[in-house]
Amino acid sequence: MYVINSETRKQHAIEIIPIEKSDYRIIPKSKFWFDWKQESSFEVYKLVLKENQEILGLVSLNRFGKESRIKIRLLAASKENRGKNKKYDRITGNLLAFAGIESIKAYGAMACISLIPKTALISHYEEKYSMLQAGKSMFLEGMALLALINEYDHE
Amino acid sequence: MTMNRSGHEIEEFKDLIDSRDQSDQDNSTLARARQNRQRNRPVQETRMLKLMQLKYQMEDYISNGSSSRFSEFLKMYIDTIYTNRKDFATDIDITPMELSHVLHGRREPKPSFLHRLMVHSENAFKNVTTFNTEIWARLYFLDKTLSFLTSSKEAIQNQAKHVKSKSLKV
Repeated sequence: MYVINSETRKQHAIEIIPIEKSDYRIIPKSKFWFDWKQESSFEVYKLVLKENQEILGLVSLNRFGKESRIKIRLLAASKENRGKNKKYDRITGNLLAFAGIESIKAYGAMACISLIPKTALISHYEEKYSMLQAGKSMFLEGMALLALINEYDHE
Repeated sequence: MTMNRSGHEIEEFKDLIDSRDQSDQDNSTLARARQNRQRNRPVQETRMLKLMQLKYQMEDYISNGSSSRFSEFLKMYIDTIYTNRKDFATDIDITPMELSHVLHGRREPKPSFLHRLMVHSENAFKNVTTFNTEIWARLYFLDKTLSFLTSSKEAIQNQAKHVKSKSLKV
């Protein structure tokens, strides 16, 4: 998996791994939008650059085994990696694909990921990630989930 | 001005998701939508998703494996694609008996078996995802390594009397 430097267009290898206790000191709300300590009872993962282990994004997941579904509870790219002037592109896509991989590993053909978007962003999730709407939620499963994973995970 | 600020915020929120609040009603709407889709899912799509699952489980095992699972993954692979294991044996030109022995650990797979499995899975995964067929060989030899290390602890102790070696000191 990789991110792209928006200026140089160079690819940088990343990995998504479980967060460590010591990381909470270096992921303040001012940089990662939420107080991530409050998520410590859920599965929290960090997206880091392989070259220097810099944290570029975070995601917390909630597994609903009976529904074969993983909900993306929280997701945040770091402050400098949000908006039009972001330093690295593909952070959110990689984190969504990672949730998809975890869901596929656990639930196989029934795998599904879901999230609740801001109303103004529904069309963004439909267009960029082929997500479908169901009430307030958006979800991805089947061949669309497979396509998302293949787009972000080539290894 | 307000429009610009709003547009800027929307761009920012593309990289922020907060799904913490979800009512039971939302959950049931989602469950219904999924049921409707799954009812009409083609068999081939189910197979492709299962192959994807198998790939990631095999990769995880290569990274963290601690027990023998080659034949288990082989069974999962065959049963995802075929309803009858004999058909797989036919497709890779071996006898059902040989396949059965490999699957139950009564016979080691020949190199030709592994090579044919690699060719077969390259085709099977072609339209699903990228798949490094070498993973079958890695799985098989990881199992052999684990089995060697487990069974040889006592043997190593027995052989120690035949070995002379010095500890290097600075």
